[in-house]
Amino acid sequence: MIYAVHHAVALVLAAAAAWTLVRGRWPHRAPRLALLLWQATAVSVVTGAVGLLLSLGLAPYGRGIGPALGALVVEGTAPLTGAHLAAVTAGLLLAGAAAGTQAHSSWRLWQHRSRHRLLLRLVGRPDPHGRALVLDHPAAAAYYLPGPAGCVVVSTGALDALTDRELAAVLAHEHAHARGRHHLALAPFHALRRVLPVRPVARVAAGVELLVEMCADDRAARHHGTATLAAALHRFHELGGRPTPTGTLAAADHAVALRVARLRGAAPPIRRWIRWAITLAALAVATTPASLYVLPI
Amino acid sequence: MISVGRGRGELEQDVMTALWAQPEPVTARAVLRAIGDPELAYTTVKTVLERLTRKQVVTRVSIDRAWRYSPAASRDDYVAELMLRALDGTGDRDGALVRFARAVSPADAEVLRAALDPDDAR
Repeated sequence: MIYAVHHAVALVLAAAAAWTLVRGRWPHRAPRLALLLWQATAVSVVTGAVGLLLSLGLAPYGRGIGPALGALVVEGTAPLTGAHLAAVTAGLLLAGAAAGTQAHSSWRLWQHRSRHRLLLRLVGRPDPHGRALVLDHPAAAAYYLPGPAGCVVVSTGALDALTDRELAAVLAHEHAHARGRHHLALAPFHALRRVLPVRPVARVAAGVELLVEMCADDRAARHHGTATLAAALHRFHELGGRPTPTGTLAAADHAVALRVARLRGAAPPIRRWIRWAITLAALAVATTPASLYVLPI
Repeated sequence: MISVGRGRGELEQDVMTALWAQPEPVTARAVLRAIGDPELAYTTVKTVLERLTRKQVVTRVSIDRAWRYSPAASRDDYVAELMLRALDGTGDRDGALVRFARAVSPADAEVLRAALDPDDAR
């Protein structure tokens, strides 16, 4: 039972972390830390929920989850009642569903990316400086396509709209996505949104996406200046910014506005001891439920 | 970083450019002639054409017991498909790439999508 209590506590901790991430003002001042804490929270929620169910079901063995599962296989289900078995089954199903969801989502994304890569090979052309692939299209686009042959792509519409310095800042932003492997940070949240398309999940996923953009903004701004990057963002936004009432664009408007305001306002960075506290909290949140699988208490 | 557009990519681009220049389906040998590279082997062109056929960007028909190839869509269609994938942050493709900022209105995305409909139904 003590294991179940610990998993429940870990879940509460993860919920508290998620709450400060959604409600707090600090994440936008330290997006990399916030991203780290989000990853830890995601890991903790899954391992904690699975662990809670398994430890409730396996309580009669009086051991950690790992050894108890071993005992279940070796000694049979004799000490367990029907309710215990149901909890164990639910835990295993939840673990399978989480793994399956991520695998399916990754597979779909891989398919989309390989089609995208193929078409880029057929119609893209390298820019003269070898920094990106160019697509001949009047609409403005700049993006990073992740994968084994990942590449940064810009449209001629974007090349025409941006000054040389702004273009350099935009490309640095995209290369920061590549270097930071941001698509991996986003993967679990996209997978979750795919299976659970409800508003809170969509909000969390959008929040994580925004943090990823801010991380890339910070890196690009460090080399090319906040004013240049903010100008590029603003210009990019205006190209497509026709006021429409739909939710998705409103959200995107809001996100771009937040990024521009953040670059222009340049809030002071968070104090060092708070950074350490958040890092330690993230580590604790991520490792507590996982450790309960193996450690005897 | 930019391995796309080198080696295999260049050859695929040359093959597609040759196909797009032809009004009718053509044989692999005609593609080889159109590219006009003396170093290029017939079997290489044939392999590329077969691979592009499998990937559904080239279609083939048998005429007089010889395969003739033609592009499944125009160059502009493929550019438009890429732009749609790049700009439209909805549905199943979401998360396939990381974009700088959304610079297209849903109405524009709708126009792009409508232009692509036959392709996109797949």
